[in-house]
Amino acid sequence: MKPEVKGEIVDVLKNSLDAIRDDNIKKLRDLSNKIINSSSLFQDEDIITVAVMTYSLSKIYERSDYRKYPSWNLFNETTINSIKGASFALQNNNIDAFEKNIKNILDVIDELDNKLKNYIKDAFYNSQIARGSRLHEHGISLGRTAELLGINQWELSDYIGRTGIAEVVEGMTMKEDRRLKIARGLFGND
Amino acid sequence: MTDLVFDSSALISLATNSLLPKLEELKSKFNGKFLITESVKKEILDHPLHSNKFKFEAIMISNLLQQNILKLFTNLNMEKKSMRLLDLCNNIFIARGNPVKILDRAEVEALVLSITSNAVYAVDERTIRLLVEDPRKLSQLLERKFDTKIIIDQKNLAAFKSEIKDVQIIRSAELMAVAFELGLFKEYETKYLENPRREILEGILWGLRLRGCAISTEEIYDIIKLEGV
Repeated sequence: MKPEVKGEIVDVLKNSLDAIRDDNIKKLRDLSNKIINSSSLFQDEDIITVAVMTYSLSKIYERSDYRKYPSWNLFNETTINSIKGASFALQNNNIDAFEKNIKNILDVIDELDNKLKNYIKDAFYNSQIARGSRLHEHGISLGRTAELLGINQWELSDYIGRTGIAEVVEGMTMKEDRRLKIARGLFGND
Repeated sequence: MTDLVFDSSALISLATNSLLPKLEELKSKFNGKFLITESVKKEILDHPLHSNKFKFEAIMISNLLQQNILKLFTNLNMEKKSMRLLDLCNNIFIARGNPVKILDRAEVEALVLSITSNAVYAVDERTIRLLVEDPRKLSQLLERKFDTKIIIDQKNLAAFKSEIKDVQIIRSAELMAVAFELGLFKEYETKYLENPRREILEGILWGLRLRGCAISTEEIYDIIKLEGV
């Protein structure tokens, strides 16, 4: 892991911990947005995982109704302890322990009440697509983004179509009459 | 006779808009072949067949393959060229000393097939279109989004340009605009629509855009204007 990637992950983990403790959802989301830049640039598996996880947590913690489920405390405590553990491990260059702690957060989901389990699984899945859309927005192709996040290109296309990605000025490369002429030429309809 | 090579993105937009039957009708008016590569087949058929959400769309694509409307192109020699071109593409833009990996294998493989078979490339995906048609704009986009200076490796860019020659690109939007011109949507001109031809074309183009085709609002209305509806 590159030192700058490590530094950024540690910073995001520490701040995420504070945000969860202060119930500051906006801060969690901002942290996820901040780390997207490095995720697109370095395309490191761990930084992408942390970007998706932080965004998922912002979605999960903003739903105060999830906290009424009996197993919420298990999820909350595991999340806090694992983030703490992951941050400590990474600062000590123990990548295995870092990854194990991150995995703990995903593993605990299966131990939750059925409804909470499904909500949280959905939140993680939808966050992968939402973060994928942000990577694509940064100029990474659909295929490469899907590959990096381990998601389906169909889901990603469906999501990005509803964003403003196609509107950016850099996206227009050829006058429409020229492109239409190419298509017409294929069918002898010029 | 020119062939048309499809990237996954264009087929996904067509499939999710229920426009695959129009592709079949277009094929009957086309002298060339509609080609896909092995990697594209994996993305549009093998992957969604194992999911629930897009399974039926994949089944419809499998039917196009079965009927030879879409033809799977397999050539082992292409792999080496694709990998070399992929490596070039992913080493053109440098940010903070790191090459930005912008493309994946399937996208480049379809581009290579378009080049080697002198075909037109149908792709809805934005990044590869920008790289082929205007790499400076892609560099500007990366610079703005990464908020850092992007250095272009001119040697790699020149090598890439020399490989791609003058490959031409269309999107599913232009393909369906031509299908519209050829009267393939006439059946939808019902009395319930105020301005049937315009509404149909608008509906097709917006549907494609909202399900992944990288076409701007300005370009959509340019097409509508050019079609005179």
